[in-house]
Amino acid sequence: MITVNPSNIDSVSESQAALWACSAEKDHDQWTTIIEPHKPWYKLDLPGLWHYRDLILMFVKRDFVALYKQTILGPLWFFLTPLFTTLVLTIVFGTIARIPTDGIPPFLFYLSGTVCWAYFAGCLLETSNTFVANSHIFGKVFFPRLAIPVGAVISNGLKFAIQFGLFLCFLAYFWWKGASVGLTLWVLALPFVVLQMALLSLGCGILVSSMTTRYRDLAHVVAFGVQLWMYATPVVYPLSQIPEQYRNWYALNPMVAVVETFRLGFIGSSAIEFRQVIISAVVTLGLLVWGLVLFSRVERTFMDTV
Amino acid sequence: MSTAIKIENLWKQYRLGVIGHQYLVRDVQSWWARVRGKEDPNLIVDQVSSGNGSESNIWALRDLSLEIEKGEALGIIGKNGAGKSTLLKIFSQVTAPTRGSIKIKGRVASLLEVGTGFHPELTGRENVLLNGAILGMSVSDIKKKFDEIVDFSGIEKFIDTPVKRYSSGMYVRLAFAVAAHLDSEILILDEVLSVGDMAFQQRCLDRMQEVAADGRTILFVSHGMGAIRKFCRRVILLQEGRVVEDGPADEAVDRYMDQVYEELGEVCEADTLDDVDRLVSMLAPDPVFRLVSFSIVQDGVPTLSVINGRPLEARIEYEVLQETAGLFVCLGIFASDGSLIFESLHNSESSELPVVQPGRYISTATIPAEWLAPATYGMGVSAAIYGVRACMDAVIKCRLHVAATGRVNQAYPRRRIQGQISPYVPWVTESIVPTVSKGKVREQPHTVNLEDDGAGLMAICQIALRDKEGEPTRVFDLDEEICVSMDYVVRQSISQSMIVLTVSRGGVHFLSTHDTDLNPDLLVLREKGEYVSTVRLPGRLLTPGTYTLTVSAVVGATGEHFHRSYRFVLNFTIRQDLGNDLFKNYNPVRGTLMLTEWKWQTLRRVSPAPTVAVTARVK
Repeated sequence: MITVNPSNIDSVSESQAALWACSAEKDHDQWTTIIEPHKPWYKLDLPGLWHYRDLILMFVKRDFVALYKQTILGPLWFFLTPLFTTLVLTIVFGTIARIPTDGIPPFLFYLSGTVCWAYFAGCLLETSNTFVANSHIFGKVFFPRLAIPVGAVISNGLKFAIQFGLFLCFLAYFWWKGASVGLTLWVLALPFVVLQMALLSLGCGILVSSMTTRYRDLAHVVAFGVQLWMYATPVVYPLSQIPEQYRNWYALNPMVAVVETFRLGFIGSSAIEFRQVIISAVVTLGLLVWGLVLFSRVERTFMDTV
Repeated sequence: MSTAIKIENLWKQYRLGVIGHQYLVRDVQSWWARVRGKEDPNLIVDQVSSGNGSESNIWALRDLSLEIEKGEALGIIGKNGAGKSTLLKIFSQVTAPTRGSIKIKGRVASLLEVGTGFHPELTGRENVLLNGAILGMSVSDIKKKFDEIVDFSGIEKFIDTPVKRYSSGMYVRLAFAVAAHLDSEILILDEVLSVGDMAFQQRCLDRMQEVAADGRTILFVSHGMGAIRKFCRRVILLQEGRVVEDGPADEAVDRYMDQVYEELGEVCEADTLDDVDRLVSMLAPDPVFRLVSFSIVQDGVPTLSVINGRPLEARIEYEVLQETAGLFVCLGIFASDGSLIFESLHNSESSELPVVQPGRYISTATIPAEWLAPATYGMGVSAAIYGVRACMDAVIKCRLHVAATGRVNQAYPRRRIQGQISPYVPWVTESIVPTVSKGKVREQPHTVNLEDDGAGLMAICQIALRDKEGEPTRVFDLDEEICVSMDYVVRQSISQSMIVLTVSRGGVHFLSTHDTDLNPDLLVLREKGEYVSTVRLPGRLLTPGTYTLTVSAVVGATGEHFHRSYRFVLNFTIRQDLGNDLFKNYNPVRGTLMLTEWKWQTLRRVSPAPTVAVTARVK
């Protein structure tokens, strides 16, 4: 019987794994799958994810179809939720608290913030639950675990597209009524803004979901953390309300640049600067990489701890 | 043949109890200690010193190495916790090994469960696509096979209904249909597949056989030894994470059965005579009584598959080690659900408490022909000292399969025999002289008159219980013959009519049908007229108690179209006392039927000389 000192299991197995990995290299063409204890953190299984693209599409379809089954209003909810939220925000922050909106019609201002924020928050909440909510599937069958959060990000993206269409309608309406709104060249940044939101929510979501397998507390933190985060983001107030000297620090919250760039492009009024957009992008990428690394480490063994 | 799977030095460790310290603070402490190169303050002390002997870690797999040829069907067996599921989980990449590696050639489809990822709100069609995608098929593949899958599941009608409206059977059928059409070189099956009803299991097994015939590699985990023996030529037996046996199915299964019997001898029902012997050898030694063997013999051949048309013998060989008063051997027959149908004790007819001398004996109980129904029974043997204790730590039970060959129900071959036993009961049916007017009331409390509405081909008018002298009564003595007579009128000549009599108590029924002894080819034509059928239940058939008598009449050409059916209930009682000393020694009496026809025979063995010492258990 071989006895092993658990305190150095990791080092032993890593070196052994490395050895085996070497020997496996030789007849690599022969074996189609090699299951080993560890894989290097940088080795993300993106080809595998591509191979399972049909599955991701099925997840997207499932989320979409199942969401409003057996509801009366059905897909109307896609419109109702942002409309009511915006209405409430307009009344509370615009009419009662009288927070300035940089001269933008308050309804349009809040709608732009809500549509962006709803996408980010929806993605984050859904992806942060990946491991715990799907443990019954993960425990039974293998597929790239990333398929589920990616699927969630895409299905929320579709939802965003619908709500974005709603926003465009109101934008056109206000423009026709003669409000001081107008597109700027920043409109061209829309794909990047959406991509950044997607990657950011994916990064944060999988980061949280990886940690939730060990610390269930995080599930509670996320629920109200997202609400607090909204107030740290210029959703209900414009960036211009933040004192000039703090704005670079403020931009460390990547959603700041996202929301403000969106407003700059479509409504044509924002205090955002290019420097802050760069800061935001760097933070987003950092969170995404951290999330992916942690995720790929946890997905190997989370079934033992969840 | 080439190797399809190569497992090299596979280890898997699980941490028990508190996982990952659970507290962020401690994790940070551990991490900080590692950064500074110091000892982890959160390690349990003996973990540092004594290696994997610590309680918080278990190795589910220990240094497992295995090579599996292409096209081989490998069975994996072992007790719970032996590491079977862990191995399959690593195979399916659900969890990673702690050390070692598995190399696989070809696509793997693993079915640890059917219906993984089914969404209740989605329709059957959508779920087939989703489930297929989860199992690794591409959408175009699934669409190509879609019709085949739906055909196999047999639920075409409901394919566009949300699966939450499915019955659980439909759900499983659809789920299995998807799984059965996976394309892969290697198929991994867990025992979860063996849930569901018998038909479903059979389907799973049939499909597996097809797959195996295709030359695909199969890894099969199961507790069902029948399936393992059937499908796997090679079987590995796991114990505490190691392979302890790797070889032909029979050897590995036998060794596994040894392990199981060692632990749970008392719950096991033996399926073969060898298993019976093994169970017998597992019994704990007793200072007074030692069971040597137990076998069931029909026509001189020991067997567990008998026919009901011939008598069978239960042979119990045992050794009595010291003179004992009141030692008895007991034979019981159990229904397939485990309930006792009846039991019989040897020496029970003796007028005083029997005293058994030391020596070796064979007791044989004969169960007469045409007693058991064509069904599966459990036959158990036990021994006890009357009023003192049981002499065996477990009832030795074996499964007895009875096939129908006797006269019972010969005339109505398509009617399934109901009841747990089906003894041959002689019936007498006489035509009544037509002077007795129709519906004449005989006012006696022991008879029941049935209202005749004048409709139907046939009507029962009266049922009466009588004793041997023809006196109406509802209370009988143990030895007394019970005579049941039924008056009925046939309004037009009918080709097949049946009167079925059931006697029951406490869930045990037995049944008799009139004309059963007639040749099945002869259609019994009953002329228009009035009849009385009489059946005599012999004395000493039923144990003391109150019974329910049910009579029903069925008229029909094929037995499928009942034109008329009566149900009628009458209670009667068998008295326990009244000078009957039959059960004086053994009280209370369990079981419904008293089978005094069973011939117990106890011979004293002259040689070999009785061994006094209790022999050690043979492993």
